[in-house]
Amino acid sequence: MIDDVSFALTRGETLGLVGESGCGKSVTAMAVMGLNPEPPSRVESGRILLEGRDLLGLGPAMREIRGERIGMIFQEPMTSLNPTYTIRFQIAEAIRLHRPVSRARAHAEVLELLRMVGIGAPERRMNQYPHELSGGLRQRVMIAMAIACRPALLIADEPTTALDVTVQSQILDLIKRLQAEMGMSVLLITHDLGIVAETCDRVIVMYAGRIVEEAAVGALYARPLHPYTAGLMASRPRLGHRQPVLPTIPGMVPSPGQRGAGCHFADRCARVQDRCRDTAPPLEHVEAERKLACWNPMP
Amino acid sequence: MSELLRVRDLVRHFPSRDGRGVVRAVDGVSLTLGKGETLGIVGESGCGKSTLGRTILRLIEPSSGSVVFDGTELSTLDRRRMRALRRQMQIVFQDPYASLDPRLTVGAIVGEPLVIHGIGSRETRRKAVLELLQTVGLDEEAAGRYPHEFSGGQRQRIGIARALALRPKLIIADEPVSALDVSIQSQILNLLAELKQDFGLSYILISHDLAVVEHLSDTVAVMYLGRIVETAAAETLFARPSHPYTQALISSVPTPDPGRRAQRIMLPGEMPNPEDPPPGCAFHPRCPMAMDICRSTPPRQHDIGTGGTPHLVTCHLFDGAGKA
Repeated sequence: MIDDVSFALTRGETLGLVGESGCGKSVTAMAVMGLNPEPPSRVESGRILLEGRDLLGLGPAMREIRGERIGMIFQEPMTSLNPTYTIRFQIAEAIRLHRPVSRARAHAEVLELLRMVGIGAPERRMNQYPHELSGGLRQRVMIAMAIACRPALLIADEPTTALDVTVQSQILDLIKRLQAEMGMSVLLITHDLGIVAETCDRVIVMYAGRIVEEAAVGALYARPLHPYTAGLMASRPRLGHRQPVLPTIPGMVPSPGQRGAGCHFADRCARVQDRCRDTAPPLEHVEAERKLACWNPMP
Repeated sequence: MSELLRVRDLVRHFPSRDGRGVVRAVDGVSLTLGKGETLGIVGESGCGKSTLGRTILRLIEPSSGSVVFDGTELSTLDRRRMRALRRQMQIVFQDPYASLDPRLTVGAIVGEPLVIHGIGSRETRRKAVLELLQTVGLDEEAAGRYPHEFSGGQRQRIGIARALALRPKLIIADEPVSALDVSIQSQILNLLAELKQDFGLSYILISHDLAVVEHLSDTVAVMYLGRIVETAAAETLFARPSHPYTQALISSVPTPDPGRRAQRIMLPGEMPNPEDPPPGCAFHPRCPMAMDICRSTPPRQHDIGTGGTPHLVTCHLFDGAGKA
């Protein structure tokens, strides 16, 4: 599903992982969390280092890292919140799973966390059940659970895709604020290039299981080098930039069974050359802070 | 431009869940669509935009109000005549999979409207289906396959082919690209633009995606909690949004330009429950400009357009300006 994916996040940094469905961005994040079901899935090779520790060999000890050093939020909060327990119980459990604090202490921390994520009337809200909350509030509750143990890394997988645009700005703003307050690193997985531009420091573009381009956000948007990145940017209508016909990328993403030996984008690429079909281009530095996997990049 | 559709004071209320109150899903909507025009209806989830589309077509019966389509008042038509007229008004849905019968071949799905309306012979229908598939960019051999064999973008093409089968005058497209990947969205948006030219269609495009709406629409109406709060030509609306909600909505869209991290108007809270709308202007609890009158009195519509082009805004901020 994913192939030779390497990247690093520094402390306090926000890294965007962008791509369309099936590109492997969520699989990558789940691999970091050790959450891909085995079998059928399997990490065949590679390492995942968090603060110097390799997570892949940890086995059951991974459970302590997950939730404590790495927090995670998903697109649909209802899949992670238990509908039969109150908000208070679920956040308290997230705390007590990793730290032996008293019931009273956990209660106080729940209130504090709900305040931190901007939930008004937390004393009332914490006794409610997930279904009693709006989508935006549920996402705030999930963020509260994810940061309960002050993780070093927050993985946010399409955290605002299910939300309305005015609520989306609230949540993105909240993640940014918490990151600054707590010095967290954030791995933000999204299909939305606008969100990446507004929230990330660096960005990785994935296509069909591989990284095709990695750059600082400013550099990437100023000049995308991979034809896929360029095509993706051009094909999205932009407010205030109306054009009669949108540029398109022909065809569609190959499924894992249809991927050939060469560059996975070759069949859709306007700049394709013979060797693109035979040999996959390696991801290599093209500048100090920039990597690219392409035999015939954009001029 | 001659008028294709005129909606006046359209209302659709539903009984609330506890059975005691009403949900004002569509609460007095008026709009006009010219022939060959695209009207975009934009708003967030729960604003009533999808109910509005279905109520215009009488897929959901209106509680009150008037819909005149090509000179015919729809609200008083009997079933048989409504059905005959519906040939000219089709709908394309967001989820092309949920709206395609998985047990039918694509050929049968696309040809079904022709069968229902008793159009043509088996042979002419077969020809028409192949032609339709080609029109929307699918191979002829697609006719013999089933929906699950196709990707999301291709399924949306199938849905569009079916909508085109009866040569309608109006297509209501309800979030036609929201379920699709970015690189596939642009293909479908271009197809919709092309078909409009080729078939002389008019569209009502319902979407939460402002960039998509701006891209295709001539006129845009912004909905909030069952009502239209602002209507203007697309260029005007996006260049000079006047209702505080429209302004906030536009400013919330993330721009793919890291150099210009936009000044955002951050709205507090979320859209209120339509079972229990706030008094006065329904937007006032979230409005950065709210005044006392907004909390008590529903605002009236004002035309602040210049040069004869209407720019309608329903907001107390304009109480002194324009024509009420």
